Amino acid sequence: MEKNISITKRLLLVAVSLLLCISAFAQQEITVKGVVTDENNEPLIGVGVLQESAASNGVITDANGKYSIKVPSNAVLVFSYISYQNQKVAVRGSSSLNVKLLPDNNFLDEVVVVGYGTMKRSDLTGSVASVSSKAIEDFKTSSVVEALGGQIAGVNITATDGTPGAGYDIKIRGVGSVNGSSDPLFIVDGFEVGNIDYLANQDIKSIEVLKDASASAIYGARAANGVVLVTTKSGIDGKPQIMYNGSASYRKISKTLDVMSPYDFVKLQVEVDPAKYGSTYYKAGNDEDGNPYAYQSAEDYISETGIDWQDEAFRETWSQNHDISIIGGNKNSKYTLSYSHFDEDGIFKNSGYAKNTARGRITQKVTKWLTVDATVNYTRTDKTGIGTSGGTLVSVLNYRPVGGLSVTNDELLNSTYDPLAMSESNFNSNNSNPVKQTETVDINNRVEQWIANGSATLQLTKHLSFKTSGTYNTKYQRYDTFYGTESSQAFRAGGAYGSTQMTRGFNWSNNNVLTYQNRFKLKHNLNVMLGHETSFSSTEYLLGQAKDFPFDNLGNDNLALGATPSQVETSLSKSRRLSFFARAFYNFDDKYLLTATVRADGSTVFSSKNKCGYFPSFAAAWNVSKEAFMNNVDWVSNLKLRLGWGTVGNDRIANYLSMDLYTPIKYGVGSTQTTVMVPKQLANENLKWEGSTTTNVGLDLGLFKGRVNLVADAFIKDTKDLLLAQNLAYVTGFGSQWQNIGKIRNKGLELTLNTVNFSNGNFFWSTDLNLSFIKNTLESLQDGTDYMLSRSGFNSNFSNYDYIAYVGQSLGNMYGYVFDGIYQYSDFNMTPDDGMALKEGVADISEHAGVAAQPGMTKYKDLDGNGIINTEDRDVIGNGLPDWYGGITNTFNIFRFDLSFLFQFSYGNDVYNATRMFTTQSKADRQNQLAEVADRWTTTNASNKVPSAEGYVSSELYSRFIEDGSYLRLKNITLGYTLPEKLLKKIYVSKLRVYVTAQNLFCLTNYSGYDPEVNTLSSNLMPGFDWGAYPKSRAFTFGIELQF
Amino acid sequence: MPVSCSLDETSYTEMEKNSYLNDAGEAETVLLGVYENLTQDGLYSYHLSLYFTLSTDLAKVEGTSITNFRNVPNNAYTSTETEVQTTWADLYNAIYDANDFLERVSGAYDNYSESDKKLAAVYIAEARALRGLFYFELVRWFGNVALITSTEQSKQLPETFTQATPVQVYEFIEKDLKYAVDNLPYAKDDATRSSNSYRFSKGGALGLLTKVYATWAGYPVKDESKWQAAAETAKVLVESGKHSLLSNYEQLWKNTCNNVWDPSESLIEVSFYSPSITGQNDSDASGRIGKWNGVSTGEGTISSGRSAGNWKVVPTFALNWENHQNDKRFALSIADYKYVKATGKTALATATIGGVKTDLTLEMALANPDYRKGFNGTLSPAKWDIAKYVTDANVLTDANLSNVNWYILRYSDVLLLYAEAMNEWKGGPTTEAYEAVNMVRRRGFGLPVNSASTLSDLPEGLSYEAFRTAVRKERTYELAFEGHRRQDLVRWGIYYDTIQNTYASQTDWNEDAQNYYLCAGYTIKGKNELLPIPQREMDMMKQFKQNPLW
Repeated sequence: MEKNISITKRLLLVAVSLLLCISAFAQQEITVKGVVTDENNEPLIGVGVLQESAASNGVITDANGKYSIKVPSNAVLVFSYISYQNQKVAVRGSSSLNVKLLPDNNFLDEVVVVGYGTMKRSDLTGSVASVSSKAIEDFKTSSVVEALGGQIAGVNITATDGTPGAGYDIKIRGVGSVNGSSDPLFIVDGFEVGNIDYLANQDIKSIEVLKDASASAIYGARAANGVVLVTTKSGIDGKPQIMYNGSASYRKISKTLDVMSPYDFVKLQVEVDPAKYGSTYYKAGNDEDGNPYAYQSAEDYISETGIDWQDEAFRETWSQNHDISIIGGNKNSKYTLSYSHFDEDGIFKNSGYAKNTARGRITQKVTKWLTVDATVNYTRTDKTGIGTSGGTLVSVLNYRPVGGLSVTNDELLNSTYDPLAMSESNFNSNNSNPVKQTETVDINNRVEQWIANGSATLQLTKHLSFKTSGTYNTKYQRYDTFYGTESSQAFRAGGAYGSTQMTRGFNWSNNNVLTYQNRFKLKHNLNVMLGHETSFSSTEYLLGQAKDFPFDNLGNDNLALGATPSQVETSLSKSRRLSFFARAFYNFDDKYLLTATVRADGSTVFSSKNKCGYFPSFAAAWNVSKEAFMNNVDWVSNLKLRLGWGTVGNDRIANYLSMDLYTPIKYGVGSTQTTVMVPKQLANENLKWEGSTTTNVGLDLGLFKGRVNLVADAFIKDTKDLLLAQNLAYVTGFGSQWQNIGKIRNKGLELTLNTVNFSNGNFFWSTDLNLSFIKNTLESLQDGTDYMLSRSGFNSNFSNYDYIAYVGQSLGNMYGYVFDGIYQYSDFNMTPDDGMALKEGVADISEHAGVAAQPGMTKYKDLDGNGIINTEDRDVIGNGLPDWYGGITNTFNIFRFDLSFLFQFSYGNDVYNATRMFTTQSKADRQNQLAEVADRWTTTNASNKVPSAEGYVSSELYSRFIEDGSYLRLKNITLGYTLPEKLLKKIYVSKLRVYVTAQNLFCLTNYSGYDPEVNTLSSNLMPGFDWGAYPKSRAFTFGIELQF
Repeated sequence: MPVSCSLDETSYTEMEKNSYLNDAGEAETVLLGVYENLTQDGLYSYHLSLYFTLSTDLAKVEGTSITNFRNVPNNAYTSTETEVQTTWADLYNAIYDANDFLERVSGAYDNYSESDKKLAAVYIAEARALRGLFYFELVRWFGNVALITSTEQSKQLPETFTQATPVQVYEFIEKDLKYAVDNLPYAKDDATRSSNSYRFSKGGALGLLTKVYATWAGYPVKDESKWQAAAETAKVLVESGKHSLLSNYEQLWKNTCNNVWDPSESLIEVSFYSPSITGQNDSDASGRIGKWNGVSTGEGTISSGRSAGNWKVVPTFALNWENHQNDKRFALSIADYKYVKATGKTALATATIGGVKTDLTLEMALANPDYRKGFNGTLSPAKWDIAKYVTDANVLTDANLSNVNWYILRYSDVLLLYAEAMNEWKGGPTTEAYEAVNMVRRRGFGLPVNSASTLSDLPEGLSYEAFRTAVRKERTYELAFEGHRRQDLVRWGIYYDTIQNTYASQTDWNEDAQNYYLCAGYTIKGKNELLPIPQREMDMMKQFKQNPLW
């Protein structure tokens, strides 16, 4: 086996052998022919076939993987191909030799994208993780981000919830910001984009994640949260290949929650308010017409099935995906064209997501010294439906399961509002029929994005090249909302109304990079790069709203139908950045590697005092395995130590925060509306970058000829001058001000282990494991402040602070009372006047609850030991950040079958189950509750888990609703079968694979909600929050992969 | 590195303060921005008009529980209550806006033309009157507050803020309002401003100052020397002849429900108006007046949507209304009806009388205890009856919001304060005191304001105590449900006792009525006279002391 030969060397070798074989002469020779295939029995194009110890004799395989070579009959052939293991085969007089190559797990030769350039993996000094297209192509996901979850050490990806097309929270090496964005910087083919959701999975060639600051500092002020670099596919030199991948997916809800049966519900309602509901549900005797009442007693409900609202609201769906691409070219021109369609019909009624992308890329070598490259990418996404947030899901869970005597189940199911509720004085028009809402409210969010990239590379001299690149990126969004006549919103507003929002996001960017590369005296390698970048972005916005529609059916397409135009808004904002950067890489004899970078960034968003920031980094690596003393250590194929240090920034905050502004608002004087000006904010004239410094120590270890590869990184990442909406005392006139305050430290250890467990011709098994341990600590806040409160505010009745960040502790602390069971009769003494008094030593909740403590009420722990429960008894009761997380993938190739499965896991994170908190508030009128409420404390059921119907303080967090969110999920399992090419040849197909994939087949967890992977607030301070999260679906995909 | 090139930031949608207020016209937009604070939820859109003022001997919140919005009106809440914090925050934000305006306009003043300078001088007086009003609300509701007099103070760290004594705050308010009195024209004489609709004028400043003195004289500061100042300030206003009572009491409600500005009686009024509301856009300047405290109206019954009608009249108030047969205000204040989708205006209760199902009126219930049950917790205030008063032009279709205005101060309020202050100062009623009360009563009875009438006038020769009692009662008749009662009871030092007495006397109406009057069980003497300092503020401002018993 040959190792560590660079691609250029290999290509050179192939080219040389090609030339030489023309002049080769025959000598007792035979002609050997055959086909070279890969592990999936696909033909491999361009495989070098050489005669051993006669390197001058060689050929390469053609577009069908075929070769033909004249060699002595006793020769040995060496088959070599990039990223595959070389294979030696003795000819032994045979004229036909078919060879299957197996992947080379020694990935040191891989080319890694590192920002304004590429590097060999073996040359890396920083912490860079790579994901190849292989690892994502079997995922049928709306965004590639979902496929990445559980695949990269140090990267924690959490879906907001299960909404089709939902967003993802990506945290690279922990939470490094409090109020600033903690999203990484996304770079696609060299240019920044807002996210990578617009890309089709099939168009992605590789994804690199720059984790430590020594790697990411080249992106300076925007790299503090790490950088995700995506490289898309480009053309190849060879016969055109047409590929088609089609699949159909079946989805269903992965879990439903148990709510109370109609019988339990009726009993609860009567218990809560006998005066009001004593005769709503059952009555003995006959009605006015002499007919007996349908329900004579509560027991008549035992057999009543009622309405299963989850069943009404959720459905099973089928949706389709089609990817098609053509890839081809020759030595000078390479091209690729692709189209992809992704559909996801949501499991919640009338929700869905569709994505269509089209892409073309061409690379043309114009002259010997000039290469141009152009890419055009179009994406359209359509997201529909009202989703489950804002109480919709909670309505599904707590809408009445039976109508009772006055309302039939059908009426209940088909009315916008519960007819019973409407007849009551405390009718709350927020609580409407969720199924009806999905049918009568139209929400369509369409995004169309055009991205055009172009670049020209000039080879100025042998060692000096210059590349100029530009991007033009426009994103048009149309967001339509229409509240049909029967929606609750129209009901409240006195008629149907709708609005259309149009947003145009625009940015362009240009960078120019000069690269000098040379090797002196064979051992000194130098690569110096100097660059400059300018970028501009703007957002324009238009909103139109009209009300009083005579009918619903035209909706947003003609807002002028609404008799009254009710709102018009426009806005414009712009920002600019200007940057200079440089990188020097020096490598002595491939043993000692040094990298230094520096970037200067200027940005409009900061105050005049702090327009510019400077971001340096240094890194060194020692390739121990290249040392002479390692020559004899056979089993170590690679050993490298890395050390890096760097500083990067975060500038992602809103525009204009350092400016003293008046903002216009409306004020009606008499019957005239006028525009008046009010101070907008407390400006901060000192606002600057958030700065993050990382020190990283890494170890790369390859054993047993690359069959075991371990990458371990330990880091300390300190972020200071946090961009933080500092809470202000309201006496200042404002609740908060953006300031640079405080410090966060993330310490961590990341392990990535790849092993080839078994490898021979027909059986291959490999395992990829990644594991991350990250410890987050808030080191400081404003002077004199040692904590910071946050409020989820998910419901207007819920106004308390429920998250807290303490200095010295991790972010993401949940804050509330500690549940201590339920007050029982045994906690009380009888008083002489037949009352009850709490026994000595039992904490008294009376004052806090506003009513005297009594059996059945929730008991909290009296943490300060003063005998009464008050606000001093709140404490940290959970944390939404995991202690460790990761994933493990196993891949098998057995004959023509391939099987892989990915487990994703997370340990030690808590989930704040606000949905459950809200659906166990049992004193609510007419609202069903989760099944656990049936086991509530009553005079005959001394529950110590669920308080009595009236026995709790409404809208208050206590530890009962904080649940362990650790989980182990079988995220993806795929079984594929590749048909023998002999069969396919007849139908001109070069490859045909069929496969079955199951996503989210099971999830082991103690979490009682729909899914523990949830983050509905998407806030750094308030992770692990579940309020009305769209349930995750379980998906089964049946697909076919065709290549011509 | 040459990175200094144009990275200056420009706002395309907002105005930079440094390049604004170039003339009086621009200054006025910022001044109106200060006024706009009046329409915030924390101020008169909701909390200071309807929410915090609710529980008294006249009114209570709908329902028989303390769930949802019913906790605050029943005094069953804690220092973490959001609404309390919202009001605190909104008031201080309003004060910031006023301070900002005063500072900015003073800075720009020298470059103004002569006519703009005249306008700016009036604007400055208006902003100071508004600041006085904001501080008056802060000090009477929260008691011990921070005195923020410039925007520069907003840069202080939280732990450096301290509480001023109520006296210091009152002195600051007095200075602001005296300045306003000296620099504002009477609405009638206003030749400077092109319009003074819903704006402060001298009459408003005088009236407010009277009320400030009367509050300063009462609980908890109890500086009784201020009765004289109150009487003398009111006297200036009364004797100026620039303001008067409308001849028809009902006209007040027609005006305020339809955005009609008549400054003769309306001294300070908040204008609510929003043509664009859809139920979504709560940033528009609309209020909850007439919805939250209106006549109970079912969903979809009237063109403006339902009225929750969460204010309910305590029936003993009706029972104890003296001479209500002749007092026109009785029927104009208490609604014994509701609106129902099917039938429109509908009686609250029916009874079978002589075998015939008959609609019951409040008069029938007053006369016959057997008919009273249906009026437990169902009577509504009638002053902001949207279905009756709001004309099509001013309809706002929304479940919770309306375009109905809110009187902060009416001339009749000042007349009654004048009478009260005179009686307190002199130790007994003077002729001016009698005349002031009687004017209010005569108008209420539909009689000519300036002619004595035995039907309406208070009996002569009342003692100090008897006159005080009469004025206090008169305030309930004249100003019922207008948001003054609770603060009146507090300044008289009888809030707790009144609540408890009201609870006890509910049985005078009928035996069930007590179940509808819950606040008595939650009200604590010496605690509920003030709101708590919001817990968040207590947590941040370490030098702050929480109000008693909170």
